[in-house]
Amino acid sequence: MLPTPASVAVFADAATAPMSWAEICVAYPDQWVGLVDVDKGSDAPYDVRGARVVSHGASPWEVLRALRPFREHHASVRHLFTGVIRSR
Amino acid sequence: MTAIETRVSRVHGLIMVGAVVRGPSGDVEVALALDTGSTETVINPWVIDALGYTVRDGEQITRVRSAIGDEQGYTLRVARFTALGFAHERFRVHVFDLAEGYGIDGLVGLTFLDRLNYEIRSVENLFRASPV
Repeated sequence: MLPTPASVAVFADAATAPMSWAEICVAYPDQWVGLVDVDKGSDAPYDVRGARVVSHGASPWEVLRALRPFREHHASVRHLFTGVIRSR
Repeated sequence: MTAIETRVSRVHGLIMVGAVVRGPSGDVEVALALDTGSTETVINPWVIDALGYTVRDGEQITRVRSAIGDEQGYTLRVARFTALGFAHERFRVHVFDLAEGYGIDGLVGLTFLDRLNYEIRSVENLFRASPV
């Protein structure tokens, strides 16, 4: 089972400036975002006060792969979806 | 043992749980939907890829019957699975593609929940559990 190729944008200068979760959803609608320096409100996954975006795109495969080099240097790394969430 | 309380979040109606899954490449934080209607704990294949596993690490090919027909997945034991305050080593997950557009990394199902006595306090967004 191979992932469907999809474009992903990766920021070469490490990350955007810190943004609130609401700002991230507006800037990168209906897609996956790779985040570092996540300011967590709690352990709940979408309880994010703010973060820096390092990758974004329609494919979670590519967004996660783009996050790989950041895991070594950033303790708080997360990937989330900015669109409507459903389970089936 | 005293019950452990964990904050959960409601996102578009789903109860979302943060979990940490460990593989050969390290730990990955994931966002899972709590689903007492799912017998299996399901992880999407892109998380398995990020953890450094491949389908060759799988144990067994499985089929899941859904509204759109039979779909194939496989089971795999991840090095460690931590959610809701409880961790399990070599935990079996079902690797199955829930669709990229769903926005979740998988489901916390009964293979995890049945190891706990738990209550979901929906109004308070709290999950309270103690081990069996």
